[in-house]
Amino acid sequence: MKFENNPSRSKKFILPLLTILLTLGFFFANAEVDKAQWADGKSLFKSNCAACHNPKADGTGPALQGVTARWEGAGDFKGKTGKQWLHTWVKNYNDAVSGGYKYAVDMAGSRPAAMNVFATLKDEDIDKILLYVENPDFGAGAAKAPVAADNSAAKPEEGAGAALYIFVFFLILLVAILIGVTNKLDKIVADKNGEPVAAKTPFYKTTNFKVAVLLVAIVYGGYKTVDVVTHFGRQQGYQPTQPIKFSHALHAGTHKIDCQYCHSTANIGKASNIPSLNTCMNCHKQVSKGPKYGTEEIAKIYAAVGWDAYNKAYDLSKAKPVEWVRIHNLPDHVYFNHSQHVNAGKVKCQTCHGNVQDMEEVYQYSPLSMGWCINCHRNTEVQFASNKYYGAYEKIHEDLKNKKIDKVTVATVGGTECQRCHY
Amino acid sequence: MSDKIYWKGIEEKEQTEGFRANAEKEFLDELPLLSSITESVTTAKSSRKDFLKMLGFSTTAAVIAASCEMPLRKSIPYIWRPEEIVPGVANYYASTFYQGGDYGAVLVKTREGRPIKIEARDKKNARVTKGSSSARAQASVLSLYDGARFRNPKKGKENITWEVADKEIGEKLKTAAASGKVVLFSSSVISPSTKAVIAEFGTSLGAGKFEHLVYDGISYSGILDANEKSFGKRQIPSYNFSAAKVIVGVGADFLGTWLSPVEFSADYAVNRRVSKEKTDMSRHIQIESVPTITGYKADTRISQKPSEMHASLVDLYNIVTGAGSSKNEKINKAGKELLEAKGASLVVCGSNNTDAQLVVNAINNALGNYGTTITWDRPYNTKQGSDKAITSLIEGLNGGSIKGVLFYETNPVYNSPVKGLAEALKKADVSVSFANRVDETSVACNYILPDNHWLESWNDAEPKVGILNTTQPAISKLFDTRPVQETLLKWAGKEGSYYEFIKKYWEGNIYNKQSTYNGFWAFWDNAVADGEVELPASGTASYNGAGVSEAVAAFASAGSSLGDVQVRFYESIALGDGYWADNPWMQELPDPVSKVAWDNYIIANPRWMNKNGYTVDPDFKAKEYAVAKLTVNGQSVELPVVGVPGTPEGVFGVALGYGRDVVAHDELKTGKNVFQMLSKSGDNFTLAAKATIEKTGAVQKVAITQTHFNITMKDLGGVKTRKTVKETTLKEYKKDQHAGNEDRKEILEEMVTLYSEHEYPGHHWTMVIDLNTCTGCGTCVVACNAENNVPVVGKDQVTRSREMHWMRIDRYYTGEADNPDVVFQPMLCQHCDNAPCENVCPVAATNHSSEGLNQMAYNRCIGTRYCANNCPYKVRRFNWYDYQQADAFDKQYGTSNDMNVASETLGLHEPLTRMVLNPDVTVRSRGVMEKCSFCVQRLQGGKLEAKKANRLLTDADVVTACQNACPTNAITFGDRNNKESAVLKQFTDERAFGVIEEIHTMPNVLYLTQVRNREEEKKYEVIDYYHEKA
Repeated sequence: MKFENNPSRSKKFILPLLTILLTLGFFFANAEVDKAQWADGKSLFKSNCAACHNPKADGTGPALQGVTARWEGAGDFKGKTGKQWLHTWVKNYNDAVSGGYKYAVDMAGSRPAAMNVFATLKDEDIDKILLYVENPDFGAGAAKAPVAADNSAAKPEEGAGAALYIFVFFLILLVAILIGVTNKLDKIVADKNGEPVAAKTPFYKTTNFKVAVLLVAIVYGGYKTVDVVTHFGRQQGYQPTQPIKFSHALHAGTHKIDCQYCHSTANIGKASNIPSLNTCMNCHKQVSKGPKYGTEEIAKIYAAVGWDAYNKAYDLSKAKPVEWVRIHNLPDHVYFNHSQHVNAGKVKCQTCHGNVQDMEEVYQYSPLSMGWCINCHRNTEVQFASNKYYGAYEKIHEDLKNKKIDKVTVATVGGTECQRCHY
Repeated sequence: MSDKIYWKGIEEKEQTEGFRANAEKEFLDELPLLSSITESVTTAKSSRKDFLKMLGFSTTAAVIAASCEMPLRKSIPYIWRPEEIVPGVANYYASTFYQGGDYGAVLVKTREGRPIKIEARDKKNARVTKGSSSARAQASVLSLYDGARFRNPKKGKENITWEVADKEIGEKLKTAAASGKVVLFSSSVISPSTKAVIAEFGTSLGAGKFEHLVYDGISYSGILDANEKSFGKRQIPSYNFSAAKVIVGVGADFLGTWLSPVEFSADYAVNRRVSKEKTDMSRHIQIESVPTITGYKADTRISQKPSEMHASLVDLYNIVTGAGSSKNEKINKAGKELLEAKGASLVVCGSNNTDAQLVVNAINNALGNYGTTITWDRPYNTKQGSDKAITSLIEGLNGGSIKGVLFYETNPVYNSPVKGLAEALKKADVSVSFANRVDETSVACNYILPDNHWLESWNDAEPKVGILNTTQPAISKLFDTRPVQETLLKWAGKEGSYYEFIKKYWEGNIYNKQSTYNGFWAFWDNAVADGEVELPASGTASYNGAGVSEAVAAFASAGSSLGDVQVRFYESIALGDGYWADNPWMQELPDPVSKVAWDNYIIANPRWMNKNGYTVDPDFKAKEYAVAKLTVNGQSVELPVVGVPGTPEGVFGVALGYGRDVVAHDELKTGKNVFQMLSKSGDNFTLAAKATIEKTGAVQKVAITQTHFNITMKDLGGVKTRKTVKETTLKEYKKDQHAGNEDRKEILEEMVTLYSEHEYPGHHWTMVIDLNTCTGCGTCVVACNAENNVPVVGKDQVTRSREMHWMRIDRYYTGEADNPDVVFQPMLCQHCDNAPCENVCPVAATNHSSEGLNQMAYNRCIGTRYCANNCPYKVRRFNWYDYQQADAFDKQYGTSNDMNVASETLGLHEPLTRMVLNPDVTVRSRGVMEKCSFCVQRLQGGKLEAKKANRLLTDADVVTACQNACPTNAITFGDRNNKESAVLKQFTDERAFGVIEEIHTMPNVLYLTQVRNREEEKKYEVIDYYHEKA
């Protein structure tokens, strides 16, 4: 076959070749990127930075792609390279500013919102994050991260109870049919033998039956009355309509935003706060359109916080707080502290609140009754070995060692006593 | 162990029928609630059918009410959450309390931006008040939420705006200055910035056109004038009680009210605390007439008439200078002891007589105390007033030289001994009051321009020269008020906030005197955060001996000019100069000496009362005291007579500060005003005077609590054998540290039980109270009220023995009836490990925790009151009414309960005043029992902090409200399972004992024996008043 100098053909040839080469080129270029490191970086970025930053677009914080080059371009200072200064900045931007690095000083002045402090990030973590932000598209389509939320607290199967009732119903039906059949057979036998059939009183007219029915009625009625009365004021399943159609399923489920990103005081205070609107605005300055309601619901946040989306400016004089409807209500004589459970007890949010990440609208998952509290206190182990506070409980430590007890629950350290919650 | 008899009141000592018949009952009334049901109801015929109808209706109604849907509750987050506010977590701000002449270095506890409690500031930043606080500082948070505060500026009764006020007053001040002078009349101002503002304002009016007159309701004019003569400085030097080995107080209640009682209590306690390691103790001799807590705490109390006290001062002067001696052996001995402790002794005198203070200065000088126990390096700024000021004002107004008056932090129309101010004010062109609540002076002024409450203000304070404090607002202002300083600056033509002014003042005058901080902002931020800055001390003064011989001669010639019947006016701990009369917490605080709340009265000697036909021990239930008419200088007052052991015969005491007739609520108009009975002696008003007394035949109910809640009932072993308090002398203690407490070993050995004992695997909360350092001042009582939402019940309910205080201070007398020894014993729930209350509760609402707490579950309590009946310490309190409207259906205010008790009529249940409630403590409702919880909310909070920090619990994590407030650190609290804890050391101390622990209650509150530093044995006599009368 003779090669002809046919431009169209050569084009046809070159294009795929180019494509292959380019792809190969990209492949080799990207081959330097360690896949595991990149994945780590991505997850670190999502949990720490994504609220304010996007690799490719300006948000609360600037677009980050190319950030390494920008800082390195700013030059060395005080014996540290630009990249080292960037590390300093990420850990605590104040250090970089007070260190006098010009680029950092300029950066600090360039935006109205100060960056958060990430003192716990290690250098290698920051490198991983930088790896991700410089190559945000690498490995697109990688396996989804495992679901973080605890699904063990899912609702019990509803089918089991129904099946049991159906089974019992059939049993009773069977007994009734059998009784009917034996009665009929008795009658036939009696007819055959020519015995006279005594006029039998129907069973529902017997004294025994009446007494039995009365007893059942009293027992059942009594039980029901007590049950109803003890449930006064409890609102399990309570799902009021909220002023904004906020979807936890979208935020906590799809986007996997950590519960405590918004409910940040659960870890430190008595109450787990409903986030103030400035927390919403960390993301919603950029995200003005939702997948389900479009701009309608997010516009309500803007109205409440006095945000002029067009001019990108706040007018706090127009701000008006959002009046959420409180779902979880405890009686006044109960003291409940979130940080006790979340921080000291390391209890997962879902244990009491259910799988909020799957709830479109939140409802009260738990009964919030005293029995429910107490049961949990009886069964849940405290951080006995890991928390130094419990060092004071010498006797229990001894009992554990001597195998007198095998676990230390909240109740073991007095967690079912009145004045742990009522004072 | 001596066989002393202790009693709380004469009626208890005598165990009279009237007393026993009522006091033995836990509850005074048979079925008190029936009294509120009208006759028509009680006499109406009702059938069984009616009963069933009612039963059916009420059950159905309750079911319907309860089963209705839960109310819709809103949860409204911040728009922008301030970084420092976490819902449910308290913030503490260093600030400075200065009101009614009382200073305190404090921390303000705020929850969600509202102040709810005043805590003592850390010792290192409280160089004057030494990390403790006073009852008044504790109570001041309540006045912030007083619904009766002025909500806007007023012209007469008409509301005006600030613009109108500024314009009108500005013009009037100009005209006033044109024809005369403008006077700013105030109590002592300790804020240097405010003084600078006043100076600016004065300058703006022109030279000679302005004067700042300073007058203190409780006058220190005498001592100031004396110091001016002796030292050339009209100031009061620093007293260092912690350096004094021998203290002689002459009519100076330095632990209760005199000059700087919180500081003095803290310092005094340093040398009063004894332990195995430190068996030395200061010696305290008090010469006084009307008993005070200071006299009651003294090792030797010399009871004298006011007229004899001046002679005793001269005697002391003669003894210490070697010029002579006294006819009174006790004075001779005191003088000798002072001489033996030269340079480490201290004589203080509460007289407002300049001559007396001159003699005291001479005594201290002869003893070499200047430079050691008394120093001039940091004189007080808290007392600057002059008694001449009030006369100058009235004369100036009447004479036409003063045309404009501004009143700041003062109420002279009420507390001026000179009459006629209200009338004289009418002659002024303009009169302005800066009061933020209604008082006698504000209603006499043309304008009322309400000042911010101190918790809403920026300010500074210099209580002692060189010790500077900052006051920062803990809440934004609740009403349309404005700081006085801003008002004055505005009138002076200066714009800008007072905050900016303070900062500028500090930058120019204080920052440059310190060397710790480089850069003003760093300095200022730290000053505000710490609350206090100390500048180098620089003051000096030398004694010149002026006027002493004249003073001595004057006393010699005057002799006993006061006659047989003498009156001594005194400042009460609760109401001060009347400033605190509109604070219900202070009104309900029983006076530590007389145990009377809600009134003033004539204090008299019980023996004198018997002789003159006054009943010493009126019926326990009726509490009706005979009224007498006391006349001084032609002015009379009719008040009930209350016997207080220790008062000399022929001496009568009356508290100042009562009888305010312009206050927001009628309930607060308690007692009678006696300020106008003070007369002049020299330049100054004298607290003692010649008087006549006669019985009127009338009787008056007095809310006296002294024999409420008795532990020592006869049938339970009686006053003779029950061991409620224990004491010893220092001599005995040095020999054997078990002295006075010898029987405890036996008691503990005898304790056997059939029941298994509780286990305390973690903490075992324990409190130890040192009776030796407790002064009975009552600060802990008010601190407890504030922390635990203890309701105010009012005079009527207190009379019925229904006060709700979780902590009371029992005052036990023993020994000589005319001059007894006294032991103060704070009594609170003892959290018995073998608690009698627990096993009688039919619903187990009170039970024992694994940490040694005697728990009380309010929501479980059904109000049988069995527990209170069975409590040997009588510390349980029953809610006879829904005092705080916790139960009111749907609304927390209004008159739904129609109960007519003080908390309602005082407006304490209104939404504004309820903001003072501690959100961590349940507001108890009608029909439940309550009592001290050891501040369980603080214990739980402390444990949680330790858990969160992943560390062991320390003493600092668990500080109860009473412990924090105590000026003498008499209260130690902690976990006695923790070997490091301070409380364990005290718990195992030889002096530790439990009250009536022989009944095997195993209390978790122990007391340390009182030790008296005294050689002489007191005669323990028992006076039988009844035979004496016959």
